[in-house]
Amino acid sequence: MDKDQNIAYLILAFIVVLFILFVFFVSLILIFTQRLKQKKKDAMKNLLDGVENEKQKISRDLHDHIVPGLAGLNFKLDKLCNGDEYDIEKNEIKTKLLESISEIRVLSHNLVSHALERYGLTEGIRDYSYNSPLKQVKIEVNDKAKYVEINKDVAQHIFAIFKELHMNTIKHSDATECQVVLEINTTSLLFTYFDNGTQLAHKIKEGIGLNNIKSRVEIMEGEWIIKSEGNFFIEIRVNNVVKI
Amino acid sequence: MKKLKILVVDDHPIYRNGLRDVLIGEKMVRLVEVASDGNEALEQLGLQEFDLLLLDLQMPDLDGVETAKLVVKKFPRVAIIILTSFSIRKQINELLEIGIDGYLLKGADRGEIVEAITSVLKGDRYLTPEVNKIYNDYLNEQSEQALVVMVSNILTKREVEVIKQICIQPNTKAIAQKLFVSQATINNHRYNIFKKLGVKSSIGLVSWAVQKGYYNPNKDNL
Repeated sequence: MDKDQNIAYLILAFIVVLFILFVFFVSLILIFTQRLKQKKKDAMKNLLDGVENEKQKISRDLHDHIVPGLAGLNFKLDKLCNGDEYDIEKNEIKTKLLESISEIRVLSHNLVSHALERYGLTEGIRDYSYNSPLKQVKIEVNDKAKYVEINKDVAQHIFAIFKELHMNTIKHSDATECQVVLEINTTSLLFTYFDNGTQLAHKIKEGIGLNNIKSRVEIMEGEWIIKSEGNFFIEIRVNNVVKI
Repeated sequence: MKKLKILVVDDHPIYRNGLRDVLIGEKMVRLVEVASDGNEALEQLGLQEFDLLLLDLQMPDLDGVETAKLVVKKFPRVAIIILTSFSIRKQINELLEIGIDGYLLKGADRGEIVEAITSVLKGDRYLTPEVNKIYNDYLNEQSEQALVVMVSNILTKREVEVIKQICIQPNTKAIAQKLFVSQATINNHRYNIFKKLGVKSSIGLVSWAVQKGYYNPNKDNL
C-alpha cells in the first residue's frame, strides 16, 4: 500500500516538475519572442529615424549653404557685368544658375517639409498637396485637430505615410483625385487616404509600396485597414497621440 | 530723392556680402551694413537709423520671423523685405500679418531686388510672382474653408442628407421613402434649406451643392 502511495507521489511530483518546466519554457519562449519583436521594432525605428535625420541634414545643407552660395555667386556675376547688358554666354550662365537655385529649393522642399516642422501635421499635408500634380487633393480635418497638439514622432510617421501613398497614387494609379481625412481626438488619430483610380489597389495587391507604411504603423503600434478592390482606400488608427 | 540706408541680415557670408556689393553700386543707396543674425540686426538698428531691412528667415539664435516681429514693434519706420529660400504658404501669411513689406526668394537678381526696394519705398507691397501666387491661392483656400464651416454651421446633418437626396432625385415621395420620414417632413426641410441658402429652386440647389462639393454627379447616384 505504502509502495503504491510512494509511486503515486513520485508520479505526481514528476508531473508537477514537468508542468513547472513546461510553464518555464513557454514563458522563456514568450519573453524571447517578445524581446525579438521589440528589437526588430527598435531596429526599424532606428533605421527610419536615421533616414529621416539624413534627409534633414541634406535638406538643411541645401537650404542653408548651397542655395545662398549659388545666389551669392549670382550677385558676383551681376557685379562682374557692371550693369552692362549681358552677352549671350554670361546670360546663359546666369539662366543656368537661376534654374539650379530653383531646382535645389524644390529638392530640399521635397526632402523635408518645413511646414510640417513649423506648423504641424495638417499644414504639412496641405502644403505638400499644394504642389501635387493631381487635379484635386481634398483634405478634411476635424475641428478638434486644430487645437490638439500631437506627438512629433506620430506626426512624422503619418506625414511620411501620406507622402508615400501620394507618390504611389501619382506613379502607379490612374487617379485624378485623392482624399485625406484626418480626425484627431484627445486620445486617438484616424488617418484615411482614398484615391479614385483603380490601378493602385491592384499594385498594392502585388505588394508594391506597402513595406514602409507597414513598418511605420507597427512602430506607432497602430491598426490599419486596406481596401484593395476597386478604388484604393486605407485607414490607420493610432492611440495615445497627444503630446505630453 | 533721399538716399537709402540698408541693413542686410543673413547668416551666410557669401550671400550677404554679395548682396551688399551689388546694392552699394545702386544710385539710390547711401549705405549698406550687414548683420549675421537677428540679435546683431537689432543691435545695429539701435545704433543707427536704417530705412530698409533685407531679412533672411533661417538664422541661428533669433530667426527671421521673430526678428521681423521685434523690428515692427520697436522700429516701425523701417521697411522689411524678406529674402529667403522658403516659400511656405502659412509662413508667408504669418509674415504679412506681422507687417513685412516685401517677400523675395533667394535667386532673385539685382534687377528684381531693386524693383522690390523701389516698390516698398513707394509704400506698395512687393511679393515675387511665385510667392504672390502661393499667397493668393492660400487666401482663396482659407475663404473657401470659412464658407464650408459657415454653411456646415447653419445646416443640420439631416438637411445635408436631404440636399444630397434632392440632387440624386428631386421626387419628394422617393426621398421620404429613402429617409423613412413623411413627405411633409421633406417639404419642411426643403423650405428651410431654400431659405437658409437663399436658393429659389431645386435646380439652383443642385448647382449650389455641386459647386460646394456636397454632391458629385459622377460619384453620387441612386
